[in-house]
Amino acid sequence: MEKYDKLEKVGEGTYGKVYKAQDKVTGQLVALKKTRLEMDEEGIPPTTLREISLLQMLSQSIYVVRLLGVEHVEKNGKRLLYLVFEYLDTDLKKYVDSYKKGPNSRPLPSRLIQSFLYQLCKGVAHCHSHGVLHRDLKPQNLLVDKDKGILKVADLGLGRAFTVPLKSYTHEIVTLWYRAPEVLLGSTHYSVGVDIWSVGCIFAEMVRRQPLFAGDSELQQLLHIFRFLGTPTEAKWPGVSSLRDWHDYPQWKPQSLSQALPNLDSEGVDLLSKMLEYCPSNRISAKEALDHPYFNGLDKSQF
Amino acid sequence: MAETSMVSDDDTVPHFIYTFSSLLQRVADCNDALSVANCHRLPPPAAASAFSAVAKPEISIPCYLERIFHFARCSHSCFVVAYIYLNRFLRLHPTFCIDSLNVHRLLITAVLTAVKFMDDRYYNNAYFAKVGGISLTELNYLEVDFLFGLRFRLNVTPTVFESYRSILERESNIVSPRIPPRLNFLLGEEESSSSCKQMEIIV
Ligand SMILES: Nc1ncnc2c1ncn2[C@@H]1O[C@H](COP(=O)(O)OP(=O)(O)OP(=O)(O)O)[C@@H](O)[C@H]1O
Ligand SMILES: [Mg+2]
Repeated sequence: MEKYDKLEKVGEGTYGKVYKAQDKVTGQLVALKKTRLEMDEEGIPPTTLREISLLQMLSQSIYVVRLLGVEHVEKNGKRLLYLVFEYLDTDLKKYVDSYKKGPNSRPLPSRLIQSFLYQLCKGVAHCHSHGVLHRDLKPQNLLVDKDKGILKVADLGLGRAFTVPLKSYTHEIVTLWYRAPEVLLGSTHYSVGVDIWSVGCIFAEMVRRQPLFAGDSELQQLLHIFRFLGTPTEAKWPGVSSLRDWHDYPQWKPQSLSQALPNLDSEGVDLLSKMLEYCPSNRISAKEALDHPYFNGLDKSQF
Repeated sequence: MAETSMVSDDDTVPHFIYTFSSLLQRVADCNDALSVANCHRLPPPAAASAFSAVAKPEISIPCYLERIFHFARCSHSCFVVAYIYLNRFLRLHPTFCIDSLNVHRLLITAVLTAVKFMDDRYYNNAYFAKVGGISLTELNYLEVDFLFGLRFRLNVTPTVFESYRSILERESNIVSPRIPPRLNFLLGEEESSSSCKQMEIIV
């Protein structure tokens, strides 16, 4: 790790910090994600193990953050693992915040939202086509290059392969605000739809500059969703009432998406409604989303 | 049937587990015999030597694997994946061979790695160390060695999974199964070893 000069801390997670650093010889900027291996009982944290192995497969896509290498360092009896990533300016959370605060407060340009969403769908489609669920899509986990207008999917620590038969699927995926209703209702065999739901929430958040469903408990989260999209029924979502955590909820009527998101054009509203479709098997896929008319105005040759 | 045997909560040991251990047993025996016959046996490469026990563990391979099966309580698929990892490890280290001194450690590490990558709920390294009869510190080192040895290539495509699953399930029915070609058991030259673990990802 003597190869790099640490410049500043840019993030902090469960197992360690993320630093901006510079290669002393080439001057290349990198992000170093440090993982402490002191938690003996656990060995290599599962999030680290998955992040490395999933990224070493997915990193070829320019819509997924590039993992440049991994180093195991032993210093003064302490064991550390460093993940070396390409460096990007900022993440989508910080980026959207910069449009929210101060005298310069203004909506994100709709062209930019279109382009970011397109790149996000590309990244997610790439993960899904390799049999990987991301399961933690949220603005903090999307990296942004401001000048080039590039967005990349990052933080695959909660990712998992879904094409091999397995018994346990955890419910502790995704920060509450981006968690799909089937997961909140206790479904155990969720699939790619959980990521699409998160993408829909992120889409709306770019438009609104604030989270779409900001619940502070699982129940509150469900109620936020139901109040906005209407309480799901067996007709709209076959099987919903047999999910583990289904109860008789208050009956709300759906609100109009276009009224709730006046800044979004009708194609955008249509795409969003397809991402926030209740029934997971009817939810649009990332690949289908790429062909949605919402992106017609976008110069796709640049991607 | 194949699908359900992989996700069932059943406690009975599925037959493919026995096939797995008998395959390993045969490879280890074969290599033990070879190393006795070959007076010029080269020392194993540095990274791989970590897996060698000083003395041959008393527990047989089938008993050891059965023990892991009972205590790990993981998806059955994880054993197929562990088998794939062992093959991958051998392919990436052509001079390394499985013998009766290292097979147990390789096995517990491969299963641990498979479970951590595949399953959402599982026991930690401390538990696996107890199940495997080795110290936690040792298992933690083996885990790092194994992961770097595999170059973190843990993902398994459905096609690869299916082909290995079918090898394990098909061989159960054959009286004298042949050793799968990828379970390399021949001695070769020592690979260049390096003590600094580093992985460059070449895309
Ligand atoms: N390659 C990078 N370039 C610039 N900033 C980065 C990079 N990677 C991460 N960051 C910053 O660090 C933050 C945390 O990184 P990341 O999401 O990968 O780790 P984490 O949340 O700690 O992971 P985990 O959820 O597994 O604990 C990000 O939200 C982002 O702001
Ligand atoms: Mg994160």
